[in-house]
Amino acid sequence: MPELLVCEFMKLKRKKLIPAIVALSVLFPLLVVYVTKSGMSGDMSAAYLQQRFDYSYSLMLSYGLVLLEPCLLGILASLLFFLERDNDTFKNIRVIPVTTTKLVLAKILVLLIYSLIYTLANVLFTVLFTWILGAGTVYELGFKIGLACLFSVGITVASLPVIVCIVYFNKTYLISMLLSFFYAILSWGMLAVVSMNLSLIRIINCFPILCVMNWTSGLLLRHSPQKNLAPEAYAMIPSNPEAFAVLGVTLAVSLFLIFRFYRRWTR
Amino acid sequence: MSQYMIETNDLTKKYGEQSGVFGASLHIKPGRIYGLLGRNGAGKTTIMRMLLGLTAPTSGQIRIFGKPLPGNETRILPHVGSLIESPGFYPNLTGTENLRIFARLRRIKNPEAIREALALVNLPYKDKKLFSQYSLGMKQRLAIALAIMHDPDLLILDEPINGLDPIGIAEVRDFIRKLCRERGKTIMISSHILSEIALLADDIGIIDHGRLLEEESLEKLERKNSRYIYLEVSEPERAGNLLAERLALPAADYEADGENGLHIYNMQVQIQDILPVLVQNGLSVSCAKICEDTLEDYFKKVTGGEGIA
Repeated sequence: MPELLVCEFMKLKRKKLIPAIVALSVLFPLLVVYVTKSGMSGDMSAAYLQQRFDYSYSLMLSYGLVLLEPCLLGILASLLFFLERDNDTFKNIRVIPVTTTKLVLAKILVLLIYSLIYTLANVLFTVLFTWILGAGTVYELGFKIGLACLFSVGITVASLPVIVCIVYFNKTYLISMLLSFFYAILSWGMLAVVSMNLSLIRIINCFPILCVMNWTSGLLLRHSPQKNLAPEAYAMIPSNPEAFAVLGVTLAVSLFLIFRFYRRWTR
Repeated sequence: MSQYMIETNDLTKKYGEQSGVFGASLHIKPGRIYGLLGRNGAGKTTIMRMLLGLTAPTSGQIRIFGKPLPGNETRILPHVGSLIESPGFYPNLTGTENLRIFARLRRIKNPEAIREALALVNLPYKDKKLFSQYSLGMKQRLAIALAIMHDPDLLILDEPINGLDPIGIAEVRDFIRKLCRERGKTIMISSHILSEIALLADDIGIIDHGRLLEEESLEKLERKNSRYIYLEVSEPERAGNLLAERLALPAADYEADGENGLHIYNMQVQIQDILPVLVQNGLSVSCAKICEDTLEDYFKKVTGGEGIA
């Protein structure tokens, strides 16, 4: 498996998408920190400055990861999963022999690694720009990096349903990209629907991406409780068993379907 | 150890109602070059894909190195090199980078394996040219390098000379011959070009419309296709025995063909010597002629007149 994983990275050499992802992980934190800086008052107290950093951090998580990362992972997944189809290399891999299961697992691990790298780059550049622009005080960095990594793993698992669709439809990169955007927007759309109809609050966590977001928000709140949140905000947070159940089912069903569909069209 | 490197029994692949491969029983001996000859779409690639586990047969058995292929892929396939259909590589990588990926996946220990494989097919090592910029001939050479990089005992090459220029064809031909003669590799190649198979193969299988029509050594086929005397005679078996006795004809020099045909391959014997022997022994001869078939004529006959594309 390690060899397979290294080879999946080697296949991506000279692909223009990778520098684009790196650029996005630099530019997005810059935008987030700039927004934070623009909204700053003259208050120079330590609590206020820490709060501003928290604001940048949570903006980075909610937009950079919840909204952008499923799209990026979808695009990267289409690149990875269509490599063998587009270049007719599957026959070379099968005669080694490498099984479809191992190949698919390697591709999903590559997605996870890219997701972690993207997340870490986002956190580090948010910290760097906060420091350079003086948009708050960086604190509890270890916890924040750890939480972001957990968030990243969760978002990768939560993005698997869109990869199922990409593999199932087996179409062009453009359609895969649109599917990924639709999936990310759908989750945000659900959040908007729930905010208008609070009776739907219990079903919101059935959406894997929102479940990850709400669960990690809960972790963040437990670590640094903020008293000014509405009670509905707490009602949205799933318990640990609930979050693990949703993500576990998403992971199991998605992997089963990806293996099944990939095997079918590579035969 | 089995007598055959590859042995198939009644190998069949059906694509719905469409044609595929029907009941092919191949026998490929170790250390020989086996040429699978057939028109485009005859089923050559389907057979090769089944031998490599890329396509599941509808029925029939495959044994490679004496072991059944299903369930033994991890033991068999690492010792097989293959080139199936068009060369498949990653266009954003150079030839060397492409081979490096597959060398890693194959866990090739020899650090010189890639350089040696590229040298054998006359491609530069660590060249900066991307695969997408390769000519068709270069792509084909790279695919051959991939097939031989891990020093396999058995090579399965589907139309290996496709896209090569005449010099490249000659080089690949020499190289395949060398691999077999000097390094004892068993090689199965497919082609729709009769002359190519005739120049390379020791044994030939003729396939048409998914059916393996004949499997013979080149030597025997050539004898069938050189000049011979054809007799249409009552009781051809008896006629053959009589000629053997009276004209001292070795058994290998004649062969009964169907109900009335008799082929005499020894052209030292004259028709005017043959006819009295047969007539005096009460056999009726309705036709006697000298035939001069080319290999192509023979294939036309075997494939029902359509010949080779």
